[in-house]
Amino acid sequence: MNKKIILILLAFIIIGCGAKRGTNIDHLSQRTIDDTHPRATLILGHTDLVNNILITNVRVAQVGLLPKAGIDVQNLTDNRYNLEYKIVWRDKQGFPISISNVWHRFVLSPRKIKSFQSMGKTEDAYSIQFTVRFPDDLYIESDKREVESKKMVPCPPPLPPICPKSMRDRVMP
Amino acid sequence: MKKLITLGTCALLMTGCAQTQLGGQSRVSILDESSRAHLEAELTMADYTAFAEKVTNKMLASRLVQSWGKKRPRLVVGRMRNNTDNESIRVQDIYDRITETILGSGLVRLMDKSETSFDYVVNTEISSTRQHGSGGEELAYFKLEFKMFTLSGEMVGQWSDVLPLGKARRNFI
Repeated sequence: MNKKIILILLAFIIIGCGAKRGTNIDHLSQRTIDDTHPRATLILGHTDLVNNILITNVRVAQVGLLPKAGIDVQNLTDNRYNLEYKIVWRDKQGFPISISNVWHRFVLSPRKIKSFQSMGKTEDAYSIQFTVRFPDDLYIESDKREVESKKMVPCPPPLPPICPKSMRDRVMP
Repeated sequence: MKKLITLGTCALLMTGCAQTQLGGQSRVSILDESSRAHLEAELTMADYTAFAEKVTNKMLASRLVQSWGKKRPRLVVGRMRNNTDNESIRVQDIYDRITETILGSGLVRLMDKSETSFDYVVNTEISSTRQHGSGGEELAYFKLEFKMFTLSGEMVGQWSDVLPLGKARRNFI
């Protein structure tokens, strides 16, 4: 009986901890990633954005010696979204072009479609990785954690209201 | 003995998959370099990069620059003028970001500011407007502008980008 338990537990350790530690593929297919375009990988940074925000109409064209990419982001809901995007250019081998780029904040009002453009800054630039996510930085994260920690602390039961003696006299003569 | 093995395996199972939390002893974190965190309504290094990225995007996508092809004209990027209300803005850092991007594109031969023989000169200027609310709110607009001239003084291109920064009302509770 004990041998069986040990075997089952060992199987758990080997299978449970070993999953998805690293595989030799571009990326793991998820519903937040769209790589149907040959020169663009489109990423939604949160599952809450799936079916609410759509990255669409990807165009990659040659402008002189450099490539240019255009992308639309569509709000499918009646909510206002505060988001940020980043475009990373890659060469034909998939290496990121070593020009630093940053997140750009934008607001997507209900049902709006917003267009973004980017130039591949070198002749080697070939494909793009476009990511849209909710704004994120150290301070937003620490604010979130603070709110969560406040929620977790149980509140003491409310104390009965203390009335001044004069009031009590009026209510209970 | 068997009990010991069973207990050991259970301990492995419980601790093996647990993620360790490193750090947390200090209040200092290393930020993501592309993060757009702000403590004040002032420009950060990430904003310099965003500015350089967006305005050079516009410049490189222009018809004039496309028409250069492989000619690689000689270009001088002039000293940046700081017309903001903040004299401590590191204009040299913005300048370096711009030249890094233009040079990386390989479209031009970048000449020193003291050079007298060139085909085009780009004058760069950063300016700002600012409004303050009674509750500590602040609204600042920063604008980066490129103006391109030929050697004979003819203006052949103008590109700009605006970065608005807003600071919310102070909360005293």
